[in-house]
Amino acid sequence: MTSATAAVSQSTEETLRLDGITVRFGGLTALSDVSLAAAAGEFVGLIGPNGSGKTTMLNVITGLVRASSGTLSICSAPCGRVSVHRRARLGLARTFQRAMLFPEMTVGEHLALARDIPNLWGRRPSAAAGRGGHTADDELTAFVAAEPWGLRPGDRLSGLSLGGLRIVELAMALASQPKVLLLDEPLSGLDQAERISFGDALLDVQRRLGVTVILIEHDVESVLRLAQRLVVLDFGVKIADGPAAEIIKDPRVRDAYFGGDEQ
Amino acid sequence: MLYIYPGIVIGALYALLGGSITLTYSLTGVINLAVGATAYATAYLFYHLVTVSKWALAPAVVLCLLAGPIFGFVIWAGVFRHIENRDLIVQLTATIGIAVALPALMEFALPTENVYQSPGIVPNGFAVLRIGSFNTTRDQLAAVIGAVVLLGGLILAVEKTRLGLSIRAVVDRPRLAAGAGINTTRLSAFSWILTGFLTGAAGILLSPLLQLDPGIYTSLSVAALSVALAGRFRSLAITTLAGLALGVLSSEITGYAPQGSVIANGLVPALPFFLLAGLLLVGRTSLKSRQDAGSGQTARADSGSLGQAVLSRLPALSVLRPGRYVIALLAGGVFTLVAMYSFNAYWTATLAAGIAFAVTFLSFTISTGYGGVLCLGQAGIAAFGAIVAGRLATEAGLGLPLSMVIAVLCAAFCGVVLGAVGTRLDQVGFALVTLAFALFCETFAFNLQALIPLQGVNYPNFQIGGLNTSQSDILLGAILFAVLAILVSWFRRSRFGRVSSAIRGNPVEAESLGVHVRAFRVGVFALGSAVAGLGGALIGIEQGNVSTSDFALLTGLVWLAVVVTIGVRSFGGALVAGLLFAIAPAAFELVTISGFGNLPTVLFGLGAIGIARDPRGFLAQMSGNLQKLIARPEPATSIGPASGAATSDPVTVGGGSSRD
Repeated sequence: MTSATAAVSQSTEETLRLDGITVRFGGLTALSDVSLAAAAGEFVGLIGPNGSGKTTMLNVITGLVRASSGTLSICSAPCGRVSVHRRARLGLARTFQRAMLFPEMTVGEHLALARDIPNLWGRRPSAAAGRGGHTADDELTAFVAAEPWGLRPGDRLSGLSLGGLRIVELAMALASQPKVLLLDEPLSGLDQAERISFGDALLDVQRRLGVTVILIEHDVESVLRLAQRLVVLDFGVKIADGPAAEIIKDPRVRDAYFGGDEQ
Repeated sequence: MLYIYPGIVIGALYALLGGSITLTYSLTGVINLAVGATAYATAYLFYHLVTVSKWALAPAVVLCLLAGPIFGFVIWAGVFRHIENRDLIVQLTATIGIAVALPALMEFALPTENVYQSPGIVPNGFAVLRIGSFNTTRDQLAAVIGAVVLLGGLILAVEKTRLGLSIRAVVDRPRLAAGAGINTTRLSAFSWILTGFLTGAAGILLSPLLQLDPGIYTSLSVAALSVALAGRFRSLAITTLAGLALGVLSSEITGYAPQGSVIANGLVPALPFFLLAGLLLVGRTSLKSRQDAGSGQTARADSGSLGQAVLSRLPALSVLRPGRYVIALLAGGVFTLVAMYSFNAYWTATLAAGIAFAVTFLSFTISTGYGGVLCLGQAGIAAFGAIVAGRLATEAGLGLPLSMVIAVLCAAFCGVVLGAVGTRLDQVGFALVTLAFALFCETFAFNLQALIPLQGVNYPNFQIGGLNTSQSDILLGAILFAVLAILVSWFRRSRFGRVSSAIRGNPVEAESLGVHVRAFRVGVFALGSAVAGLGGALIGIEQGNVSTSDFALLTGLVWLAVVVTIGVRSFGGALVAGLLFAIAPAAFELVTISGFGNLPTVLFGLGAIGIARDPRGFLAQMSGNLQKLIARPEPATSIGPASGAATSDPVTVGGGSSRD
């Protein structure tokens, strides 16, 4: 399955917008006047060399890093000074470069936690009422139980493979049925078969939920397979933005990303 | 101006201890709350050598100056060498263990009766000299000269020597310095030895100026901490200036305030609290571990790991199943009846005290064990509960039940305020704010006679039916403990418990999932504070009278050490810790050998140190060992390949550039 053939539901509704975002850490400018808009159901690959500001950009969107200047909106709601948890409630979810899970909990407890959080004080968790007659709990359990992960609710994290941990983290992010999903190198450390399976699962949920996906990934082959559009950062500056197949041929991108001598 | 010189004397010593904290933090990443204890240990040794063993001053001084570095080396080799890459909270807990154990260990090893004041390092130290327009005692002059020489030498060594260059390199970029070939382990050992020398010297210099009391020296740690914080744990020069300013300000206020007034007796000792709280809140101090220094923008995201080691790696005792609840309640009921009817008055009263402490210690289970916030001021909160309940019941005639309810609400409000302030900071900042609060209570609030009369706060006689006082106390405490334990267990198994566990394990991830981490922490801390207030009231009921000494800062640290040692993640741990805290001293009181009364404190302190090295807690370790004995081998639970990922730390996998 490629991005060209995937039947992704995409509308013109804008779910994420960054305008002129600049981030400075002391004397270092990590992001310089970066703008980006993404529509519902769009799959955007965010690439660039190490130190180009990709994770900083995700941290700004999440609220973990505050921008020095610029504006940000999620699902049309201005988010400049909105806290991390409120952004999550607006429909934002993310995974981290280093999968962040909870050491004391089983797989099932992770899923239950993610299900509970959106309606902690309610009698019945709102996310439990899923689509197609199934509960979200069932869907998530089935999601992590699919091959090649084969995870069961009682599994402990200590026995999981890297791919298993990443699929649990993704399932948790999906539990709130997000509008915008940020993925920070979810494929790193996985073997080729796992990358394909993980990518297929990602495309499947994106198609079904119509979620906007922003994916940071160093493996260009995987990015091209998954993303319709590429945004390229270099030294904190956006140097390219457009259809994936075209952008990857851009000489500036090849120069920044591959050092100019990659064929 | 008249009182500047005495202020400079004490300020110079604040600066010396603050400089020690700065040096240790810069080179090892440890906030050493045990500087006061080390100073006390050396001062106590000096007192013992000179006064009890009748040594001449010179050899006693030499031996004590050697003792400081030896303390420092032993602390490094025995504790911090093994936990140098661990979380700040783990290291903080270890220093609390040392602060509790070391003074008690010295008093246990070198028992002396009625220690009030130590001689100084110069003969005839009380003799007054006239220098210019100032009068000074020989002891004061020795303290100033000693502090100036030591601080000046330290600053010169850091600025002008090759060793100092290495130190500054490690302070700026520890990983880079290690990569450049600097032996950071050796430097770490050196810093502990040097810190031991400085604090030891400060202890000897302070000994004729302060009453030789571990509580006073512990308070000194907070003053030193506040001046070190003023220097951002980096600048020895600013630390020195802050120390002098604090000393002079204290001296001036003391000098000009009316003798015996609230300002002189309360405000001055509380000045370090105001400085510490102000610096923490204005500066919003974020104390990254030394390993994180310089890691750029990832530090914020990674700060979620702060506190994980001691708080999330503590495996809990397995949650009781419903059937086991009944068994636990039945066992508790039998224990209560046995405690009420099978012992003599001495042990019945002791067990009543133990159950009151167990309820109090449940507050640690909630706040620290489940909520993931380290509170160093629980004694202050419990004291508020005790004072409010006692005064309302005795003076306002409201009756004990209503008084206790109001006391619990007051303690919860106190928790909300403290939590709202503390959660603006990171976890270490929170711990320090609560420490400052305990100091504020001890030195200021509890000195207000409008709050606590000189004779303490009395409680009405409490009896249930035909039971005597101690039996009634046991019954009341047992019922309240059982109710709280059931509620705590319900909380833990509920969705709130899962969220709490998530926050404790990984606050950044929890927040990104939509949890309002700060509000949740404030709520849990307020709940813990309410329980602490209830515990304080129970302590008051059991004792019949409470005074400030029952809830001193050091007492609160010992409480924490006991609970952490036994197990901070289960109500069983709180119960055993409470009973042990009451029973152990009572048992040692029956032993007639002088000095054995300190042994429980030594053991509790060593337990807290041990918990930093193996953070599971005694009860969990025992439980784990039992489970291993009775468990049958289980098949692997994962279908997926177990390669690559989590082996020792499943929560942080992957990697890649941190600069992206």
